[in-house]
Amino acid sequence: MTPSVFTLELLALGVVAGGLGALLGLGGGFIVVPALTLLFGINIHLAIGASLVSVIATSSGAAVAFVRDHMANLRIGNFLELATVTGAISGALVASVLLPRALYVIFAIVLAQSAVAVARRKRIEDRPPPPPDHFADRLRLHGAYPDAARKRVVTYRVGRSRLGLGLMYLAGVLSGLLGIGSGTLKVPAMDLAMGLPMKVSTATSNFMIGVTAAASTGVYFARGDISSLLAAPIALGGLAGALVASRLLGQVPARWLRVIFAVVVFAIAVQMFVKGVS
Amino acid sequence: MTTDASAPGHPLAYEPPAAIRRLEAAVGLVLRAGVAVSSVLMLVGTIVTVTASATAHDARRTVAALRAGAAHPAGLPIPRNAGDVLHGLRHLQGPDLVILGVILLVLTPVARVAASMVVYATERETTFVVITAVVLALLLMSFALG
Repeated sequence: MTPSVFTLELLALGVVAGGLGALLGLGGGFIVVPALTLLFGINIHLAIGASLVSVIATSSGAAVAFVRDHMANLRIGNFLELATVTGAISGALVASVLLPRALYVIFAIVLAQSAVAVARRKRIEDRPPPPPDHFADRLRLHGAYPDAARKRVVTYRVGRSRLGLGLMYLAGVLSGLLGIGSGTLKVPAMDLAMGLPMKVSTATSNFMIGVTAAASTGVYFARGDISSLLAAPIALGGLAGALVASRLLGQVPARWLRVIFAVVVFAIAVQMFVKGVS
Repeated sequence: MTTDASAPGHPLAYEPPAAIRRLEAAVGLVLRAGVAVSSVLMLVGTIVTVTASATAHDARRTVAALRAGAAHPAGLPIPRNAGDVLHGLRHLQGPDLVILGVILLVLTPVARVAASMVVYATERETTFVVITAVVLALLLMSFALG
């Protein structure tokens, strides 16, 4: 295979990962790592390194739109980054001593859990408001965002901010370990634990993912796991996909997206698991 | 661009408080600049790497090694530290442009944390200055780990 064809294939992979990632509030690593290892036969450490770079691209591209549209809560993002960055550094350090086989199995379990969590996600209207949280009051984390679908500005209050912080540490660990944005954990942590509206959770998750991934990229870079021939085309595709998808977010029926996501991710999880144990 | 607030995906005319607006403006600017500069470098660098005669042969070897599942692919060298990167920048061939682009991309989220810290400082929000300073320090530490 010539480098040009290889590059174009990686570019296409990036567009798909970045587009789906931005739509679902995830980084897109859940597509990049399995595709690189299973379809392209790339070593998993190099695949994770490339995935981290493309996750940063997707996150930054999507964040441009979400910050402009006042969808992401930057104060919550900055606060929770304390935990995700600490977690990401721990995870990246642990990954270097783990065998590829173990990485496959952990990846498969996280993917399967994500598929179930996304498929079962409830609408915020159907949930009770979060309990009062003095910590969130003091940090003034509460906010508002314009909801185009409901044609009004929605104000919201934040609860269980310390539980959110703890969950974000775990999300950070997985991010560093697996080269994913771990938005599949970030979104439920904000959505379910802290009581944020779905759209704010998705946008803020996208916003934070870049910082989490940057923290583990330093470790992968030093280890020689960032191959630019691999990372750059996927990142470019990811940027393009994210820029388009972040504008389409309001028009795509969320329920369909969730079902497709759950099915695809579950199928990938099974494949990764088989590869890990066989 | 349409101003119809009922259009799907289009934001309503919503003005956040002034402090949030300033924060969003600074962060948005850093993100746009980082994404633009790094993507141009990665795009130009990748095209040059796979087409220029000086690097095309090594690029072919790297791709073959990658497809074979190598953990340390032969061909184009993979920089591991600031010294390797600076060394490459003196020659500035295709791969060096790509690496510079990748590094700027990775630094973009770091730069937007720094931008938030500056905005919080001008707003005298001590708690958030401390929070962003710690995040920034951890990020820099992670780059120094290698």
